[in-house]
Amino acid sequence: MKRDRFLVESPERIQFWRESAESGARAASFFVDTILQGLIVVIVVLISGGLSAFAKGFSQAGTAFLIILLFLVQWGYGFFFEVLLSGRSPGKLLFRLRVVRLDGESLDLRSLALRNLLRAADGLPFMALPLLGGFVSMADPLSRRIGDLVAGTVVVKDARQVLAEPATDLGALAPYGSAAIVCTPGNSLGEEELYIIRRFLSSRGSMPPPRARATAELLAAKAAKRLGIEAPAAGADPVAFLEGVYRGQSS
Amino acid sequence: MDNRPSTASGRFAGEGLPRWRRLRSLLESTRKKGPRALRYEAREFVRLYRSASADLASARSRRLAPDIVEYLNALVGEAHARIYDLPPLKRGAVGHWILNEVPARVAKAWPFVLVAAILFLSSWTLSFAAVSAKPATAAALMDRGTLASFDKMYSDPAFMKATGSEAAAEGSAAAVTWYIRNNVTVSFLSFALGAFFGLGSLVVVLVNGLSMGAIVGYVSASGHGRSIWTFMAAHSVFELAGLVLSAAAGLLLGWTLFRGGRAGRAAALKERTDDILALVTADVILTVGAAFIEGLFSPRRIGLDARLAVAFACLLLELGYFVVLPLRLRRRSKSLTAGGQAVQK
Repeated sequence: MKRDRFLVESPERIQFWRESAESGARAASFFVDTILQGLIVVIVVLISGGLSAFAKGFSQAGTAFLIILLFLVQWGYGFFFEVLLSGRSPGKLLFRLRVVRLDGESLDLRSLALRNLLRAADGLPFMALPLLGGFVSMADPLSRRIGDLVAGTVVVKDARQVLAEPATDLGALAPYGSAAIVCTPGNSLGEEELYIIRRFLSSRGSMPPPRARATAELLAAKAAKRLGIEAPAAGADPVAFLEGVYRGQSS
Repeated sequence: MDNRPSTASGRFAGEGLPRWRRLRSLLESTRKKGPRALRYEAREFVRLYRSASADLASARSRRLAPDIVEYLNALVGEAHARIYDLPPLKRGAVGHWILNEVPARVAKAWPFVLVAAILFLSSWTLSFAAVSAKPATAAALMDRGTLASFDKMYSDPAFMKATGSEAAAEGSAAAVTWYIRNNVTVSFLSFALGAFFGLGSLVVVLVNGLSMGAIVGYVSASGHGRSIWTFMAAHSVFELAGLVLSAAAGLLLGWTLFRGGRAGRAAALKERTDDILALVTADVILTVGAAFIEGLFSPRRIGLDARLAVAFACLLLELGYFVVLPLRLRRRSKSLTAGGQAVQK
């Protein structure tokens, strides 16, 4: 298993893997969030500037409002959106990332509050340029910043991005229609090996012919060795051979 | 026999796909419409989630094709994220947190509050004494520009007069929010730096104590002691308590990280997260309160007596919130458990 994967065990003992987000994706989503924060402030400043032109006496209350807005946007943005969008700020949403808890339990307000408060520690030397958090996240195998480490959270890739349906079988095998190559019952290929052959047989049309041929020869040699049979001769078609092996191994 | 060959993986996928597709379509509908989409299919959703995770376990142990394992893993991961989503906030949760949890947990964390208070007060006293005795020491603790500005501010009759004028009162709404933004940010920083095993909070509270002591000492030594004490009197009770509580939160965080526990750091932290957040909440409440007093009340032309009365009222509020309220809560919970035992007998 890859190093940036970690096993989640939910409270009802269901186990599965999650993949943590890369530091690069996190930096990109941070960048988007920072720009959005800036935009929110700019838009409000423009609107209130327009209002103050009409309403006299607005300026004092307006200044107070702007200062508090700046504060809320700086400190509340992450928490607000992660609560609203269940663990995703707009930047994370864009890059299909989400915050989850490492222990597999429900996301909760306290973890989100803690990880967002600790932005102050990650945000050294400046909140807009969180070098410390960046370095920590690059050093951590799961790309966690200090806030994540303390709050017990991880930013993971949304599982939705890898949902490609598995093959039920190899559709139409055959320009060849080759006969099954039957071997002695003791020798057989595992499901993962059959998967590799199936992947090759179904995608070889999109490979450049010389490369497809080279791959087929390689796979045929390996399969033959594994099954203890003779590999196809130099002139023979390795694809037909692989197809025969696949047919012989399946039922 | 069908000409299409099938492997164990293929048969497994063929058998399971209808269920997996159904789960996926339920997931899609919750993604579009939110959890309400599952009002009628909640049981079905959970059943499908369980069966998909059983399929995942069996596909993995039978070493079936990687595309099946990956697909099921992603499907189960998505469904898990949906089931273990952020639970909706209970009604009255915020009130309960502020009126029950925060005072009780702050009181429980008293050793950290005490340590932070001692650190602050001793560093404050030290630098105040040093600077009062020899004003030149202040230059070692603060830069000259800052000192000069304080000197000018408190010696300038215009400043003290302006604090009483209507103009200052008008500007105070902005002053309140400016104090909130500034002081809450400082206290968040003082807490968050506790992540470095408490050292950051330690440094922040010491530096704050030293520089505040130096300023007051310097201004007093220049003969404007009465102005600065008068100005500070009302809001300092809340502001300093907030500062101490934020440092205490950082120290508690650092201590928990440093000490770990039998079940490891993560478990120890999880146990104390609520205490830490209670300290931070209390700090925010006090700092915001102090900002209102500092922005609206302190700049007005008000006598020292009234200011001291406000400070005293603040102190009473603090005692009530952090001492009396927790004691009452504890007594109530004790009598409740006693009542429970009586019923059991």
